Amino acid sequence: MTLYEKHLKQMLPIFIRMILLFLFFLFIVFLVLSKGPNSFSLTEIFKNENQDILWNFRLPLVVSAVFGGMGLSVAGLVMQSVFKNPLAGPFVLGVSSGASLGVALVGVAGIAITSLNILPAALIGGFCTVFIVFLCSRFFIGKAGILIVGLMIGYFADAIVSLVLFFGEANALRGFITWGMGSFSRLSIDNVPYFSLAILIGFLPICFSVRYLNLAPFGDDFVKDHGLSVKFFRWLTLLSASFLASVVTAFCGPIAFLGLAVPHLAYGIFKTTNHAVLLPTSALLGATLALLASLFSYLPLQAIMSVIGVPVILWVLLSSRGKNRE
Amino acid sequence: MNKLLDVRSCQFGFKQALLLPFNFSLYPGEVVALLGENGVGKSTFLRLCVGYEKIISGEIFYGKENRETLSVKDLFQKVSLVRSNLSIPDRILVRDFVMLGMQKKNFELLEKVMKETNIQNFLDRTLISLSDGERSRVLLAEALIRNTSLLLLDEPTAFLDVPRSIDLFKLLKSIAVNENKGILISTHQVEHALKYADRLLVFLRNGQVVSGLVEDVLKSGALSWAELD
Repeated sequence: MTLYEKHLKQMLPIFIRMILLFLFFLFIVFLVLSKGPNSFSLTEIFKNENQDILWNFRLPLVVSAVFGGMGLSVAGLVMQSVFKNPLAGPFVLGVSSGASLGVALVGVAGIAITSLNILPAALIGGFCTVFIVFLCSRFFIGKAGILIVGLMIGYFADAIVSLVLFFGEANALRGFITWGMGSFSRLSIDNVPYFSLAILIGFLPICFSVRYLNLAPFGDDFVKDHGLSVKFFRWLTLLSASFLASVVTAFCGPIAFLGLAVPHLAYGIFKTTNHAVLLPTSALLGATLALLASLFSYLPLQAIMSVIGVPVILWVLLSSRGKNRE
Repeated sequence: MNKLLDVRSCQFGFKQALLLPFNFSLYPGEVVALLGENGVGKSTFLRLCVGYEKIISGEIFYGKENRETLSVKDLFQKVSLVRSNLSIPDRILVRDFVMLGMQKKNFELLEKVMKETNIQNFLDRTLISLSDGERSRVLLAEALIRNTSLLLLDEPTAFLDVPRSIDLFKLLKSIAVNENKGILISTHQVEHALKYADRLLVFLRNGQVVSGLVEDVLKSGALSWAELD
């Protein structure tokens, strides 16, 4: 057997798992489309009397969960690789808190908290946080430093948010709190194209950085040894990741957990560190998890996310840990 | 014969030059050992050759091209450096790591390198779980897959026992001859270097640089610091 054939043979289980995952994803999509306060069976999805619910409620929910899940997972994966830290993620590094601060300021300024209104503020908040975290990370050696900086900035932003809200009007407060609970069912049908387009734009630069993301965990020198510009790719990927995280935060509210956990889940299932595999599979897994959570869209999203996700992730982490020791 | 690497009265360092200006050339098919005490600039010189650090005076040529005119990407096509102090993430598999060196899919080269370095048996293990001897061969394989005619190794024998480091020297020698590569290796295993290297390049504490055939360097007394028998 030539090496090429061996290579193909090794790729086969990955392909099979990808296909299975995709089928599962499709199944969940149809499940979310059909279930809810007005449930109908999978075969009735395309009946006329159901079209109104389907288009105005279920479809935005699906789009929101799929792209939201994808965006956060990919952002988490990129941050973990670029910061060489398995605990990095949009929430841990304070990007979500930074975005929240932007949104709170908008709310207090008397502007209605609608997705499109708060998008620029969330983006600026998110970008600033990544920038500060990154600048600080250069003064720390080791993996804990950057997490500490990220968490501190997160706390700081949250504290400012509390102060801002304390002096804010009741109306703004209510808007902010509903947004702050996080939900995939906030997206209206009008915003579906904007949201999906923004996420796809955020993906593009990351798709072109697969080689950098594969090299980055070994350190900047190793990246440069392989003929890539460290500065260019680091900023390209970090900005795209914080763009993705901020857009999702603006449209769906702050959502913890997905960005941190899904990359580990993808690694646990596919057993490779190759980002050509990890990027699409993390996106798909993130979308699937978010859809699963949105099946219970009447319950608080954060709670559902953790209840479904934590056992799965723990199981995957523990089982892959055992194999590494062999 | 054409020179793969040509250092012309070069000086380098951070604020002040580490060494006196020196000339050095590396030809295809030879293994040159770079010797010297800790802190004399061996690693810095290797880094200089792959495009880090600044030249204070003099020039470095790769074939006919001056280092200053080459971009990071051009250098990647000409020279590869094996870092034995590479920080290795927990999960990376040997298979995924070796593929990092490959720019275009070239499975013939991959197959050849894997046979040469004899790493086929642990492709599915994590890099971190390998023994030091196995890991040194995987690091070498990744650099060989970059397929450059110039190969630099920064203390590849640092964690190796005597048989393992002799094996590595023999392997490097056969690669240099068979593939017509020029190999420069910094090491503290002076005795192995004397036995297996074609030439020596010695950096001395006083800033002098001595290079030449093994016997000539030995006669010149440039290795007195190594306290050889």
